[in-house]
Amino acid sequence: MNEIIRYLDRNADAWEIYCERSKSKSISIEKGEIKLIESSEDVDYAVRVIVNGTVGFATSSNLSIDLCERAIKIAKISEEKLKELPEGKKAEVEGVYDAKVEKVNSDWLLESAEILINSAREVGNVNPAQGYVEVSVDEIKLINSCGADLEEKLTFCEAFLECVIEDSSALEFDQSRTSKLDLEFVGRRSAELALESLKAEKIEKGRYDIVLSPIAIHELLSNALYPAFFAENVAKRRSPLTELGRQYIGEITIVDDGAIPYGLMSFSFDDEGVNPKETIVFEGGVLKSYITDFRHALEIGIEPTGNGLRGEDLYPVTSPTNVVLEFDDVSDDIEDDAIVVHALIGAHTSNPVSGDFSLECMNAFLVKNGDRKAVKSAMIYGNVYGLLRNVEVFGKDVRQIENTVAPSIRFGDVVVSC
Amino acid sequence: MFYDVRYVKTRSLTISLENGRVDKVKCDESNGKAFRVLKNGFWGFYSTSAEISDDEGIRKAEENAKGKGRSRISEVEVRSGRFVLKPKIDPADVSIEEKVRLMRDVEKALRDDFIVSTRVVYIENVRIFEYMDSLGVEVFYEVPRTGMIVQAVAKGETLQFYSKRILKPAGYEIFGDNVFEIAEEVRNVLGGLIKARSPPSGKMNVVVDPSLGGVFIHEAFGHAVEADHVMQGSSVVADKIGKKVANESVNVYDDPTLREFGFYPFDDEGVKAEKKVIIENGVLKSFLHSRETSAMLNGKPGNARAQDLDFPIVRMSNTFIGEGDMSFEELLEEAKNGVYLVGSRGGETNPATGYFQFNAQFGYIVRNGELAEMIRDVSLSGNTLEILKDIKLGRGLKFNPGFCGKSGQLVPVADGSPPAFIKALVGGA
Repeated sequence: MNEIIRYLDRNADAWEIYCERSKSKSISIEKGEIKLIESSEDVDYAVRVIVNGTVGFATSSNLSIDLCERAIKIAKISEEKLKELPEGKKAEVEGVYDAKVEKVNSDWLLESAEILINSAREVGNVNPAQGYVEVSVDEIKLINSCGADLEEKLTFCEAFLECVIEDSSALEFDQSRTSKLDLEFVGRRSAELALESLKAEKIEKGRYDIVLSPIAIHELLSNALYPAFFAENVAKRRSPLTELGRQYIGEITIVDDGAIPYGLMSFSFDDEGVNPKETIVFEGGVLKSYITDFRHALEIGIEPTGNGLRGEDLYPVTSPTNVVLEFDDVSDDIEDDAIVVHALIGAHTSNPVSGDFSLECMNAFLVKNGDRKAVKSAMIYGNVYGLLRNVEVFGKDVRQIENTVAPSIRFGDVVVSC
Repeated sequence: MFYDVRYVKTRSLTISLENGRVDKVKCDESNGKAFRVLKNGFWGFYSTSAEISDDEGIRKAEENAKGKGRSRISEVEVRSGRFVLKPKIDPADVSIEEKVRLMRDVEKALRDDFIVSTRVVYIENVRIFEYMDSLGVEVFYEVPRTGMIVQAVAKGETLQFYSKRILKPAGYEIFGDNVFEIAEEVRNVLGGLIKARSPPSGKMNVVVDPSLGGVFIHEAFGHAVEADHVMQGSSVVADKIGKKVANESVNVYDDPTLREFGFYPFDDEGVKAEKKVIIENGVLKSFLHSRETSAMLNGKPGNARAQDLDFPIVRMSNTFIGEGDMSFEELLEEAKNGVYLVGSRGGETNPATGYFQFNAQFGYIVRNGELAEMIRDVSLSGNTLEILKDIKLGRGLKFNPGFCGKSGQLVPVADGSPPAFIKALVGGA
């Protein structure tokens, strides 16, 4: 390690070494039977250097001088400007690591999978077609020449089940930073939804009030809305959200906060070493600020927001953390006289530049006077900004789905094609 | 006890040129090993990017094979093989400066008054794969993949986005006039898109171009015939082998031996790649199989693929629908009044219900059998068991490359189709 740091000190104006050590264990279910147990142990390194004001970047499963040389070679052709790297500080964030996850063994996985299967079967004669329980521990180390020397362990657990009966299917899942997964809920709810969706009927094409579940809300907004409030996309003119202070959506408040206790996307420093913080993106529908990684914060001249995150390629880019949606009008009873949608098919095909979407509904129900009827093949479509101007009421079933924290939301006047 | 060992080594370089500036250059060299053990009908799996001996890896996988199950695995016909795809021009022999120069030239061809943002992405990678199992199978291959993605955003009354790509299992020789042609197409399409009207909605007659037709067949049928869905009891075509699922003009194939983006010489279970007939003259002939599903359902293996070191699952490769004999004009005439839709940003399907969604990048209104006004991007949906009854096929099969996601794993695929006529639900504003 010292030899590598000496090499980087000599050959780069600034440098960063990021190391991710991941351990995961999972169990898979096929047609109600346990089929497979997997485990993996991976180490990946990313080296970022600044040479004469431009960035070089390279990754490998081994840390070596060769890896550093590759990063330096790239800095010579890159036009990615950067003056410095974050000094790096750790915030106190509760609930991102659960030591119990490290102790998860095959017996725990077998028992958890049995609970998933049994909870589904207790509901009725469904096929727990495919599912899994997965736990992982990620150990992050980040050091750079600007003073950062950070370490953190993060845990993440997930249970997923798809139940099938005849030509009906439904999926449900639970995600947590701790090993406390609600397996009974996942099993029961996926089975209930599959049963409820049997004997679906066509409905008339037209305008309806719709209620999107937290899963559907996340699928739609993470594809059609979130990329539009990344500072980089605004600067590169790939976003319609060009004017701070302008009202773009109805009176919803949308906050990105990487420091929420037990948040699925919470951490004590982002993948570049910046502290997580609360960023109000929309306040009462008015655009207040953007979220950004460190590089674009410097380039655009705004404060870093702690949104520099690394995906599989380990390259830090802007990404939302925990995005919390809030609205003044909240009610227990928001489903009557509306189409209630559990999930969407094809949300990744939404257009993030225009905000246009047209998506097939999965497990949709027409609710009238308390009576729920399963809906066969319906597409909802429109523009995400138009949709968010027609929010009527929020439910109380707040739940975090990946990086979205929201309840079911009722929208007025949505076009449904059948 | 059955076991197998995969050793996967990858090298990749990605360069982005964003609004004319070299950005997000990523250079990766990784390797690792993955081990599977099948014991008492139950699978144990272990993978790592750290140094490990085969014995130690197999031992760790065996530790995970803790349950009892019914899984079996089929033998393979070709037990050994070696394939090295030597590109005409190895990307490693082309300087990074030369690659950037080509990207800058392509970016220039994108520019226009109405273009507000551009992105050109260059991609190269090499996958070096070694496989051995306890039944004596041993294979090795090395396959490069190279390509370019060209995207732009245009501003008129609305902000619009369009993207095209060229991706092949080949080297730097794939670049010629083609990259400039797609840049020009991106610019021209966007010039129209910013003035285009909203698409119509409802069930209607649709003519799809080959790239949309390819995504259509991938979503409409490809996923439903992946035999792992059949094993799970979650495919609407599970009981349809030997039965009519489409009209007689329909033939659908999956062929990993074609030099399209989904090419592979051996799958991730060491099985030599071969062409599979999925639908012949409208009749469902076979599913796509792994060694496990082929043993359980009496099929032929060869479609088990994995991203990096993940557990191999049943996947498509180059999936296509065979040509028909109608001209493009005849297809429009058949549609009479409806839409002609082009290009795709992908789609998604639920094989258990048969409902699928796929997205078109733009299109035109068809009025009295002729192309009329341009329309914006829109999605379509349909059902696997209904959609191929009314399909009519044109001439001119073309492939389009892409990445297909399943169970969190992305693999390179290509989808092919001639222009075709279908009846589908269009969701436009």
